[in-house]
Amino acid sequence: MLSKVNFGFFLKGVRPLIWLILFTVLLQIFFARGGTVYWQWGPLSLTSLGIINGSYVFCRFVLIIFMSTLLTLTTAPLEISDALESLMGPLKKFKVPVYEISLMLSIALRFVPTLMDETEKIMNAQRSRGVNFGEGNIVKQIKAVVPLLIPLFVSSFNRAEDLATAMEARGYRGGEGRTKYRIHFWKRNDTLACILFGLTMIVLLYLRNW
Amino acid sequence: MSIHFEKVNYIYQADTPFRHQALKNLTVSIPTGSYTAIIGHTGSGKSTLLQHLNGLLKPSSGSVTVADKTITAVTKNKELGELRKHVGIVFQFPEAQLFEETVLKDIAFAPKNFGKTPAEAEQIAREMALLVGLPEEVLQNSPFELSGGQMRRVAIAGILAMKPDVLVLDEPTAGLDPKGRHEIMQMFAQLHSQKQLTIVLVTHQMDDVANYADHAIVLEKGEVIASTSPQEVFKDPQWLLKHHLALPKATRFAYELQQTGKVVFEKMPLTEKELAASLVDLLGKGGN
Ligand SMILES: Nc1ncnc2c1ncn2[C@@H]1O[C@H](COP(=O)(O)OP(=O)(O)OP(=O)(O)O)[C@@H](O)[C@H]1O
Ligand SMILES: [Mg+2]
Repeated sequence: MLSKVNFGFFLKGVRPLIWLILFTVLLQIFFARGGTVYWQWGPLSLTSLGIINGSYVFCRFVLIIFMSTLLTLTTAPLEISDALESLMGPLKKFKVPVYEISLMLSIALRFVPTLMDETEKIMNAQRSRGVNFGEGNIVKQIKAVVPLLIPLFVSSFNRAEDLATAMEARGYRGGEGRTKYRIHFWKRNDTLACILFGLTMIVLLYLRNW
Repeated sequence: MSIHFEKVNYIYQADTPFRHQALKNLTVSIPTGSYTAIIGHTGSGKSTLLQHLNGLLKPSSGSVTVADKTITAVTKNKELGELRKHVGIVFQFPEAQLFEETVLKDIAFAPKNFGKTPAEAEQIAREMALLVGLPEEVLQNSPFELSGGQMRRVAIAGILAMKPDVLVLDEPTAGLDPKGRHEIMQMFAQLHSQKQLTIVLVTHQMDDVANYADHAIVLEKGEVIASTSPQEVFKDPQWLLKHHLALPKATRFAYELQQTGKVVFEKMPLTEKELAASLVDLLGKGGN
Protein backbone atom coordinates (compact mmCIF):
# COMPACT_ATOMS: atom_id res chain seq x y z
CA MET A 1 0.00 0.00 0.00
CA LEU A 2 0.98 3.56 -0.66
CA SER A 3 0.95 4.61 3.01
CA LYS A 4 2.91 1.75 4.65
CA VAL A 5 0.36 1.44 7.46
CA ASN A 6 -0.15 -1.98 9.01
CA PHE A 7 -3.60 -3.36 8.19
CA GLY A 8 -4.14 -4.32 11.84
CA PHE A 9 -4.44 -0.66 12.80
CA PHE A 10 -7.43 -0.25 10.48
CA LEU A 11 -9.23 -3.15 12.13
CA LYS A 12 -8.44 -1.68 15.56
CA GLY A 13 -10.13 1.53 14.49
CA VAL A 14 -13.29 -0.34 13.55
CA ARG A 15 -13.53 -2.36 16.75
CA PRO A 16 -14.92 0.27 19.16
CA LEU A 17 -17.65 1.18 16.67
CA ILE A 18 -18.61 -2.33 15.63
CA TRP A 19 -21.84 -2.41 17.68
CA LEU A 20 -23.02 0.90 16.32
CA ILE A 21 -22.32 -0.31 12.79
CA LEU A 22 -24.05 -3.65 13.28
CA PHE A 23 -27.06 -1.95 14.86
CA THR A 24 -27.49 0.46 11.95
CA VAL A 25 -26.97 -2.28 9.41
CA LEU A 26 -29.57 -4.53 11.06
CA LEU A 27 -32.04 -1.65 11.21
CA GLN A 28 -31.55 -1.11 7.49
CA ILE A 29 -31.87 -4.76 6.63
CA PHE A 30 -34.99 -5.46 8.62
CA PHE A 31 -36.95 -2.25 8.32
CA ALA A 32 -36.28 -1.08 4.78
CA ARG A 33 -39.03 -2.08 2.37
CA GLY A 34 -38.98 -2.63 -1.35
CA GLY A 35 -37.76 -5.15 -3.87
CA THR A 36 -38.36 -8.86 -3.47
CA VAL A 37 -39.60 -9.98 -0.07
CA TYR A 38 -37.72 -13.04 1.22
CA TRP A 39 -39.08 -13.33 4.73
CA GLN A 40 -41.56 -11.50 6.91
CA TRP A 41 -42.46 -11.51 10.61
CA GLY A 42 -44.62 -8.75 12.00
CA PRO A 43 -42.98 -5.42 11.23
CA LEU A 44 -39.69 -7.12 10.36
CA SER A 45 -39.04 -8.05 6.80
CA LEU A 46 -36.08 -9.18 4.83
CA THR A 47 -36.12 -7.62 1.38
CA SER A 48 -33.63 -7.33 -1.43
CA LEU A 49 -33.56 -3.54 -1.13
CA GLY A 50 -32.96 -3.87 2.62
CA ILE A 51 -29.95 -6.07 2.04
CA ILE A 52 -28.52 -3.72 -0.57
CA ASN A 53 -29.03 -0.70 1.69
CA GLY A 54 -27.52 -2.58 4.60
CA SER A 55 -24.38 -3.41 2.71
CA TYR A 56 -24.12 0.20 1.49
CA VAL A 57 -24.28 1.48 5.06
CA PHE A 58 -21.73 -1.07 6.19
CA CYS A 59 -19.27 -0.11 3.44
CA ARG A 60 -19.75 3.58 4.13
CA PHE A 61 -19.02 3.21 7.82
CA VAL A 62 -15.97 1.06 7.30
CA LEU A 63 -14.62 3.38 4.62
CA ILE A 64 -15.09 6.46 6.79
CA ILE A 65 -13.20 4.79 9.62
CA PHE A 66 -10.44 3.51 7.32
CA MET A 67 -9.99 6.94 5.76
CA SER A 68 -9.82 8.78 9.06
CA THR A 69 -7.45 6.18 10.49
CA LEU A 70 -5.27 6.59 7.43
CA LEU A 71 -5.29 10.37 7.75
CA THR A 72 -4.48 10.47 11.45
CA LEU A 73 -1.79 7.80 11.24
CA THR A 74 0.04 9.28 8.28
CA THR A 75 -0.37 12.99 8.83
CA ALA A 76 0.60 15.06 11.87
CA PRO A 77 -2.18 17.37 13.10
CA LEU A 78 -0.10 20.42 12.32
CA GLU A 79 0.32 19.25 8.74
CA ILE A 80 -3.43 18.93 8.45
CA SER A 81 -3.92 22.50 9.52
CA ASP A 82 -1.17 23.64 7.14
CA ALA A 83 -2.91 21.79 4.35
CA LEU A 84 -6.23 23.40 5.19
CA GLU A 85 -4.59 26.79 5.14
CA SER A 86 -3.16 26.28 1.69
CA LEU A 87 -6.39 24.72 0.37
CA MET A 88 -8.40 27.66 1.70
CA GLY A 89 -5.89 30.05 0.19
CA PRO A 90 -8.20 31.23 -2.62
CA LEU A 91 -10.83 32.22 -0.04
CA LYS A 92 -8.56 35.04 1.06
CA LYS A 93 -9.90 36.98 -1.92
CA PHE A 94 -13.31 36.92 -0.23
CA LYS A 95 -11.91 38.28 3.03
CA VAL A 96 -12.13 34.94 4.82
CA PRO A 97 -9.58 35.05 7.69
CA VAL A 98 -7.70 31.99 6.50
CA TYR A 99 -4.55 32.52 8.58
CA GLU A 100 -6.56 33.02 11.72
CA ILE A 101 -8.67 29.94 11.14
CA SER A 102 -5.64 27.77 10.57
CA LEU A 103 -3.86 29.25 13.58
CA MET A 104 -6.89 28.54 15.75
CA LEU A 105 -6.94 25.00 14.48
CA SER A 106 -3.23 24.45 15.17
CA ILE A 107 -3.55 25.85 18.67
CA ALA A 108 -6.61 23.76 19.41
CA LEU A 109 -4.87 20.62 18.18
CA ARG A 110 -1.70 21.48 20.05
CA PHE A 111 -3.54 21.73 23.37
CA VAL A 112 -5.54 18.51 23.17
CA PRO A 113 -2.87 16.43 24.95
CA THR A 114 -2.24 19.20 27.46
CA LEU A 115 -5.91 19.34 28.26
CA MET A 116 -6.06 15.58 28.69
CA ASP A 117 -3.13 15.69 31.10
CA GLU A 118 -4.80 18.47 33.00
CA THR A 119 -8.08 16.55 33.19
CA GLU A 120 -6.26 13.55 34.61
CA LYS A 121 -4.53 15.67 37.24
CA ILE A 122 -7.67 17.45 38.38
CA MET A 123 -9.62 14.20 38.49
CA ASN A 124 -6.95 12.74 40.74
CA ALA A 125 -7.02 15.77 43.01
CA GLN A 126 -10.81 15.67 43.34
CA ARG A 127 -10.81 11.91 43.83
CA SER A 128 -8.48 12.47 46.75
CA ARG A 129 -11.07 14.89 48.11
CA GLY A 130 -13.72 12.19 48.02
CA VAL A 131 -15.34 12.60 44.60
CA ASN A 132 -16.32 9.36 42.87
CA PHE A 133 -16.41 9.81 39.13
CA GLY A 134 -18.66 7.44 37.22
CA GLU A 135 -20.45 6.07 40.26
CA GLY A 136 -23.93 6.44 41.71
CA ASN A 137 -27.09 7.67 40.02
CA ILE A 138 -27.25 10.20 37.22
CA VAL A 139 -27.71 13.25 39.49
CA LYS A 140 -24.64 12.27 41.50
CA GLN A 141 -22.61 11.77 38.35
CA ILE A 142 -23.54 15.16 36.96
CA LYS A 143 -22.68 16.76 40.29
CA ALA A 144 -19.30 15.03 40.23
CA VAL A 145 -18.44 16.71 36.93
CA VAL A 146 -18.70 20.26 38.29
CA PRO A 147 -15.46 20.10 40.34
CA LEU A 148 -13.74 18.86 37.20
CA LEU A 149 -15.13 21.26 34.60
CA ILE A 150 -14.72 24.52 36.51
CA PRO A 151 -10.97 24.11 37.13
CA LEU A 152 -10.54 23.02 33.51
CA PHE A 153 -12.29 26.14 32.23
CA VAL A 154 -10.35 28.39 34.55
CA SER A 155 -7.01 26.92 33.56
CA SER A 156 -7.86 26.99 29.85
CA PHE A 157 -8.73 30.67 30.02
CA ASN A 158 -5.59 31.41 31.96
CA ARG A 159 -3.54 29.46 29.49
CA ALA A 160 -5.11 31.23 26.53
CA GLU A 161 -4.25 34.57 28.06
CA ASP A 162 -0.67 33.48 28.79
CA LEU A 163 -0.32 32.18 25.26
CA ALA A 164 -1.56 35.43 23.77
CA THR A 165 0.89 37.42 25.88
CA ALA A 166 3.74 35.12 24.97
CA MET A 167 2.92 35.37 21.26
CA GLU A 168 2.79 39.13 21.39
CA ALA A 169 6.02 39.24 23.35
CA ARG A 170 7.64 37.26 20.56
CA GLY A 171 6.38 39.66 17.95
CA TYR A 172 3.36 37.92 16.45
CA ARG A 173 1.36 40.40 14.39
CA GLY A 174 -1.10 38.26 12.51
CA GLY A 175 -0.60 36.11 9.46
CA GLU A 176 0.00 38.48 6.54
CA GLY A 177 3.51 38.05 5.15
CA ARG A 178 4.51 35.48 7.74
CA THR A 179 7.13 32.99 6.59
CA LYS A 180 6.78 29.32 7.33
CA TYR A 181 8.85 26.92 9.37
CA ARG A 182 7.57 23.84 7.57
CA ILE A 183 7.55 24.10 3.82
CA HIS A 184 5.76 21.42 1.82
CA PHE A 185 6.68 20.30 -1.65
CA TRP A 186 4.52 18.60 -4.20
CA LYS A 187 6.04 15.16 -4.83
CA ARG A 188 5.37 12.43 -7.36
CA ASN A 189 3.42 10.41 -4.82
CA ASP A 190 1.04 13.34 -4.36
CA THR A 191 0.26 13.43 -8.07
CA LEU A 192 -0.16 9.67 -8.03
CA ALA A 193 -2.58 9.81 -5.09
CA CYS A 194 -4.60 12.57 -6.74
CA ILE A 195 -4.90 10.66 -10.01
CA LEU A 196 -5.86 7.50 -8.14
CA PHE A 197 -8.56 9.30 -6.22
CA GLY A 198 -9.84 11.01 -9.35
CA LEU A 199 -10.12 7.67 -11.13
CA THR A 200 -11.89 6.03 -8.19
CA MET A 201 -14.36 8.87 -8.08
CA ILE A 202 -15.13 8.64 -11.80
CA VAL A 203 -15.58 4.88 -11.56
CA LEU A 204 -17.89 5.23 -8.57
CA LEU A 205 -19.99 7.92 -10.23
CA TYR A 206 -20.24 5.82 -13.33
CA LEU A 207 -21.32 2.73 -11.36
CA ARG A 208 -23.92 4.73 -9.51
CA ASN A 209 -25.69 5.98 -12.60
CA TRP A 210 -25.47 2.68 -14.35
CA MET B 1 -0.63 4.31 60.02
CA SER B 2 2.04 2.00 58.73
CA ILE B 3 2.77 2.09 55.02
CA HIS B 4 4.58 -0.63 53.16
CA PHE B 5 5.38 -1.17 49.49
CA GLU B 6 6.14 -4.77 48.54
CA LYS B 7 7.79 -5.45 45.15
CA VAL B 8 5.73 -2.76 43.47
CA ASN B 9 6.01 -2.34 39.71
CA TYR B 10 4.10 0.37 37.94
CA ILE B 11 3.88 0.68 34.18
CA TYR B 12 2.28 3.67 32.42
CA GLN B 13 0.34 2.91 29.22
CA ALA B 14 1.25 -0.76 29.43
CA ASP B 15 -0.14 -2.03 26.12
CA THR B 16 1.03 0.75 23.85
CA PRO B 17 4.26 1.75 22.15
CA PHE B 18 4.55 4.48 24.85
CA ARG B 19 4.93 1.91 27.62
CA HIS B 20 7.00 3.31 30.46
CA GLN B 21 7.94 1.55 33.67
CA ALA B 22 7.92 4.22 36.37
CA LEU B 23 8.41 2.02 39.45
CA LYS B 24 10.67 -1.00 39.42
CA ASN B 25 10.35 -3.78 41.97
CA LEU B 26 10.11 -1.21 44.72
CA THR B 27 10.11 -2.43 48.33
CA VAL B 28 10.13 0.23 51.02
CA SER B 29 8.41 1.20 54.29
CA ILE B 30 7.33 4.58 55.57
CA PRO B 31 7.51 4.48 59.38
CA THR B 32 4.35 5.35 61.31
CA GLY B 33 4.44 8.87 62.70
CA SER B 34 7.57 9.78 60.74
CA TYR B 35 8.26 12.85 58.67
CA THR B 36 9.54 11.14 55.54
CA ALA B 37 11.13 13.01 52.67
CA ILE B 38 11.17 11.47 49.21
CA ILE B 39 13.91 12.85 47.02
CA GLY B 40 15.27 12.04 43.60
CA HIS B 41 16.04 13.51 40.22
CA THR B 42 13.20 14.74 38.03
CA GLY B 43 11.27 11.80 36.53
CA SER B 44 12.52 9.33 39.13
CA GLY B 45 8.97 8.29 40.02
CA LYS B 46 8.22 10.33 43.16
CA SER B 47 4.78 11.52 42.11
CA THR B 48 3.95 8.06 40.81
CA LEU B 49 4.82 6.59 44.20
CA LEU B 50 2.64 9.14 45.99
CA GLN B 51 -0.40 8.27 43.94
CA HIS B 52 -0.17 4.70 45.21
CA LEU B 53 -0.67 5.90 48.78
CA ASN B 54 -4.41 6.40 48.38
CA GLY B 55 -5.07 4.09 45.49
CA LEU B 56 -5.24 6.66 42.69
CA LEU B 57 -2.83 4.32 40.95
CA LYS B 58 -2.78 0.61 41.65
CA PRO B 59 0.44 -1.36 41.34
CA SER B 60 0.79 -3.24 38.04
CA SER B 61 2.21 -6.00 40.21
CA GLY B 62 3.14 -6.25 43.88
CA SER B 63 1.17 -4.70 46.72
CA VAL B 64 0.87 -1.53 48.80
CA THR B 65 -0.32 -1.81 52.40
CA VAL B 66 -1.63 1.26 54.24
CA ALA B 67 -2.72 0.46 57.82
CA ASP B 68 -4.90 -2.65 57.37
CA LYS B 69 -5.74 -2.07 53.70
CA THR B 70 -3.80 -3.88 51.01
CA ILE B 71 -3.97 -2.60 47.45
CA THR B 72 -3.04 -4.80 44.51
CA ALA B 73 -3.69 -4.65 40.78
CA VAL B 74 -7.18 -6.12 41.24
CA THR B 75 -8.45 -3.93 44.12
CA LYS B 76 -11.84 -2.38 43.26
CA ASN B 77 -12.26 1.40 43.34
CA LYS B 78 -15.25 1.07 45.65
CA GLU B 79 -13.02 -0.29 48.41
CA LEU B 80 -10.79 2.77 48.35
CA GLY B 81 -13.16 5.42 49.75
CA GLU B 82 -12.30 4.64 53.35
CA LEU B 83 -8.56 4.80 52.61
CA ARG B 84 -8.86 8.19 50.89
CA LYS B 85 -10.39 9.61 54.07
CA HIS B 86 -7.21 8.79 55.96
CA VAL B 87 -4.60 9.77 53.40
CA GLY B 88 -4.70 13.42 52.28
CA ILE B 89 -2.66 14.32 49.22
CA VAL B 90 -1.63 17.87 48.39
CA PHE B 91 -0.64 17.66 44.72
CA GLN B 92 1.93 19.67 42.83
CA PHE B 93 0.33 23.09 42.20
CA PRO B 94 -2.81 22.18 44.15
CA GLU B 95 -4.52 25.49 43.40
CA ALA B 96 -5.68 23.81 40.18
CA GLN B 97 -8.26 21.90 42.23
CA LEU B 98 -10.19 24.98 43.45
CA PHE B 99 -13.70 25.32 42.04
CA GLU B 100 -16.26 26.46 44.61
CA GLU B 101 -17.91 29.88 44.79
CA THR B 102 -16.28 30.84 48.05
CA VAL B 103 -13.05 29.99 49.81
CA LEU B 104 -14.95 28.57 52.77
CA LYS B 105 -17.06 26.27 50.62
CA ASP B 106 -14.01 24.99 48.81
CA ILE B 107 -12.25 24.08 52.04
CA ALA B 108 -15.44 22.39 53.29
CA PHE B 109 -15.75 20.29 50.11
CA ALA B 110 -13.73 17.26 51.21
CA PRO B 111 -15.21 16.89 54.72
CA LYS B 112 -18.69 17.10 53.20
CA ASN B 113 -17.81 14.35 50.72
CA PHE B 114 -16.54 12.20 53.54
CA GLY B 115 -19.79 12.37 55.44
CA LYS B 116 -19.71 15.49 57.63
CA THR B 117 -22.85 17.65 57.79
CA PRO B 118 -22.62 21.07 56.09
CA ALA B 119 -22.51 22.81 59.47
CA GLU B 120 -19.71 20.59 60.78
CA ALA B 121 -17.81 20.98 57.52
CA GLU B 122 -18.04 24.77 57.71
CA GLN B 123 -16.82 24.71 61.29
CA ILE B 124 -13.79 22.62 60.24
CA ALA B 125 -13.20 24.88 57.24
CA ARG B 126 -12.99 27.95 59.50
CA GLU B 127 -10.47 26.22 61.76
CA MET B 128 -8.31 25.17 58.82
CA ALA B 129 -8.41 28.60 57.21
CA LEU B 130 -7.09 30.01 60.47
CA LEU B 131 -4.44 27.30 60.67
CA VAL B 132 -3.00 28.02 57.21
CA GLY B 133 -3.06 31.75 57.89
CA LEU B 134 -5.85 32.98 55.63
CA PRO B 135 -7.29 36.33 56.73
CA GLU B 136 -10.91 36.20 57.91
CA GLU B 137 -12.12 38.66 55.28
CA VAL B 138 -11.26 36.50 52.25
CA LEU B 139 -13.32 33.51 53.40
CA GLN B 140 -16.44 34.64 51.55
CA ASN B 141 -14.53 35.69 48.41
CA SER B 142 -14.19 33.60 45.29
CA PRO B 143 -10.99 31.54 45.45
CA PHE B 144 -10.11 32.81 41.97
CA GLU B 145 -9.72 36.38 43.21
CA LEU B 146 -6.88 35.50 45.56
CA SER B 147 -3.14 35.82 45.06
CA GLY B 148 -1.18 32.72 44.07
CA GLY B 149 0.14 32.22 47.58
CA GLN B 150 -3.31 32.54 49.12
CA MET B 151 -4.77 30.09 46.60
CA ARG B 152 -2.10 27.61 47.59
CA ARG B 153 -3.12 28.03 51.24
CA VAL B 154 -6.79 27.45 50.41
CA ALA B 155 -5.91 24.27 48.54
CA ILE B 156 -3.79 23.01 51.44
CA ALA B 157 -6.52 23.87 53.94
CA GLY B 158 -8.93 21.90 51.73
CA ILE B 159 -6.83 18.77 52.28
CA LEU B 160 -6.16 19.40 55.99
CA ALA B 161 -9.93 19.68 56.45
CA MET B 162 -10.17 15.94 55.80
CA LYS B 163 -8.24 15.51 59.06
CA PRO B 164 -6.07 12.81 57.49
CA ASP B 165 -3.74 10.53 59.49
CA VAL B 166 -1.20 10.62 56.69
CA LEU B 167 -0.49 13.91 54.96
CA VAL B 168 1.20 13.59 51.58
CA LEU B 169 2.82 16.69 50.10
CA ASP B 170 4.11 16.91 46.52
CA GLU B 171 6.41 19.96 46.40
CA PRO B 172 3.93 22.04 48.44
CA THR B 173 6.03 25.21 48.36
CA ALA B 174 7.11 25.25 44.70
CA GLY B 175 6.69 28.75 43.34
CA LEU B 176 6.09 30.48 46.67
CA ASP B 177 8.09 33.39 48.07
CA PRO B 178 10.66 32.58 50.79
CA LYS B 179 8.50 33.92 53.62
CA GLY B 180 5.39 32.03 52.54
CA ARG B 181 7.48 28.92 52.05
CA HIS B 182 8.88 29.15 55.57
CA GLU B 183 5.44 29.76 57.11
CA ILE B 184 3.88 26.79 55.36
CA MET B 185 6.75 24.42 56.17
CA GLN B 186 6.57 25.51 59.83
CA MET B 187 2.86 24.78 59.86
CA PHE B 188 3.42 21.24 58.58
CA ALA B 189 6.15 20.70 61.16
CA GLN B 190 3.76 21.80 63.88
CA LEU B 191 1.03 19.45 62.69
CA HIS B 192 3.58 16.66 62.70
CA SER B 193 4.75 17.27 66.25
CA GLN B 194 1.38 18.20 67.79
CA LYS B 195 -0.99 15.79 66.09
CA GLN B 196 1.45 12.93 65.41
CA LEU B 197 0.57 13.13 61.72
CA THR B 198 2.65 10.94 59.43
CA ILE B 199 4.00 13.28 56.76
CA VAL B 200 5.36 12.25 53.36
CA LEU B 201 7.06 15.15 51.60
CA VAL B 202 8.36 15.19 48.05
CA THR B 203 10.82 18.00 47.56
CA HIS B 204 13.78 19.24 45.59
CA GLN B 205 14.84 21.47 48.52
CA MET B 206 17.54 19.63 50.42
CA ASP B 207 17.30 22.25 53.16
CA ASP B 208 13.72 21.18 53.83
CA VAL B 209 14.86 17.58 54.11
CA ALA B 210 17.57 18.62 56.58
CA ASN B 211 15.33 20.93 58.59
CA TYR B 212 12.18 18.89 58.91
CA ALA B 213 12.45 15.24 57.90
CA ASP B 214 13.49 12.37 60.16
CA HIS B 215 13.54 9.77 57.39
CA ALA B 216 14.56 10.01 53.75
CA ILE B 217 13.86 7.80 50.76
CA VAL B 218 15.98 8.36 47.66
CA LEU B 219 14.58 7.26 44.30
CA GLU B 220 16.42 6.86 41.04
CA LYS B 221 14.75 5.75 37.81
CA GLY B 222 11.93 4.08 39.74
CA GLU B 223 14.14 2.24 42.19
CA VAL B 224 14.85 2.92 45.86
CA ILE B 225 18.57 3.54 46.27
CA ALA B 226 18.41 4.60 49.93
CA SER B 227 15.88 4.56 52.76
CA THR B 228 17.53 5.91 55.87
CA SER B 229 18.06 9.00 58.06
CA PRO B 230 18.86 12.36 56.41
CA GLN B 231 22.19 12.29 58.28
CA GLU B 232 23.17 9.09 56.42
CA VAL B 233 21.99 10.39 53.06
CA PHE B 234 24.04 13.58 53.27
CA LYS B 235 27.18 12.00 54.65
CA ASP B 236 28.79 11.18 51.29
CA PRO B 237 29.03 14.12 48.85
CA GLN B 238 30.49 11.91 46.11
CA TRP B 239 27.51 9.56 46.27
CA LEU B 240 25.10 12.50 46.12
CA LEU B 241 26.87 13.99 43.13
CA LYS B 242 26.70 10.67 41.33
CA HIS B 243 22.93 10.61 41.82
CA HIS B 244 22.36 14.27 40.85
CA LEU B 245 21.44 15.38 44.35
CA ALA B 246 22.55 18.49 46.19
CA LEU B 247 23.70 19.05 49.77
CA PRO B 248 21.84 21.25 52.24
CA LYS B 249 23.41 24.71 52.40
CA ALA B 250 24.85 24.27 55.88
CA THR B 251 26.37 20.89 55.05
CA ARG B 252 27.94 22.20 51.88
CA PHE B 253 29.43 25.09 53.79
CA ALA B 254 30.88 22.66 56.35
CA TYR B 255 32.40 20.45 53.64
CA GLU B 256 33.97 23.39 51.89
CA LEU B 257 35.35 24.59 55.17
CA GLN B 258 36.76 21.16 55.88
CA GLN B 259 38.40 21.04 52.43
CA THR B 260 40.57 23.98 53.40
CA GLY B 261 42.14 21.56 55.86
CA LYS B 262 41.84 23.89 58.80
CA VAL B 263 38.94 22.26 60.63
CA VAL B 264 37.49 18.78 60.98
CA PHE B 265 33.83 18.31 61.82
CA GLU B 266 33.10 15.27 63.96
CA LYS B 267 29.52 15.12 62.79
CA MET B 268 28.42 16.86 59.63
CA PRO B 269 25.88 19.60 60.40
CA LEU B 270 22.65 19.47 58.35
CA THR B 271 20.97 22.67 59.45
CA GLU B 272 22.16 26.19 60.06
CA LYS B 273 21.56 25.70 63.77
CA GLU B 274 23.76 22.60 63.90
CA LEU B 275 26.39 24.36 61.84
CA ALA B 276 26.45 27.33 64.22
CA ALA B 277 26.66 24.99 67.23
CA SER B 278 29.58 23.00 65.79
CA LEU B 279 31.40 26.17 64.82
CA VAL B 280 31.01 27.55 68.32
CA ASP B 281 32.27 24.21 69.60
CA LEU B 282 35.30 24.21 67.30
CA LEU B 283 36.20 27.79 68.17
CA GLY B 284 35.89 26.97 71.84
CA LYS B 285 38.39 24.15 71.44
CA GLY B 286 40.77 26.69 70.05
CA GLY B 287 41.05 25.63 66.41
CA ASN B 288 42.41 28.29 64.05
N1 LIG C 1 0.60 9.75 32.66
C1 LIG C 1 1.80 9.30 32.29
N2 LIG C 1 1.97 8.56 31.17
C2 LIG C 1 3.17 8.09 30.80
N3 LIG C 1 4.30 8.28 31.47
C3 LIG C 1 4.23 8.99 32.60
C4 LIG C 1 2.99 9.54 33.08
N4 LIG C 1 3.24 10.21 34.23
C5 LIG C 1 4.56 10.09 34.45
N5 LIG C 1 5.15 9.36 33.49
C6 LIG C 1 6.59 9.01 33.43
O1 LIG C 1 6.94 8.31 34.58
C7 LIG C 1 8.19 8.76 35.09
C8 LIG C 1 8.05 9.16 36.53
O2 LIG C 1 7.22 10.29 36.61
P1 LIG C 1 6.91 11.05 37.97
O3 LIG C 1 5.90 12.10 37.67
O4 LIG C 1 6.58 10.07 39.02
O5 LIG C 1 8.32 11.75 38.27
P2 LIG C 1 8.73 12.69 39.48
O6 LIG C 1 9.81 11.99 40.22
O7 LIG C 1 7.53 13.10 40.25
O8 LIG C 1 9.36 13.94 38.74
P3 LIG C 1 9.31 15.51 39.12
O9 LIG C 1 10.38 15.72 40.14
O10 LIG C 1 9.65 16.18 37.83
O11 LIG C 1 7.94 15.83 39.61
C9 LIG C 1 8.65 9.88 34.19
O12 LIG C 1 9.65 9.37 33.33
C10 LIG C 1 7.42 10.28 33.41
O13 LIG C 1 7.77 10.64 32.10
MG1 LIG D 1 6.45 14.97 40.48
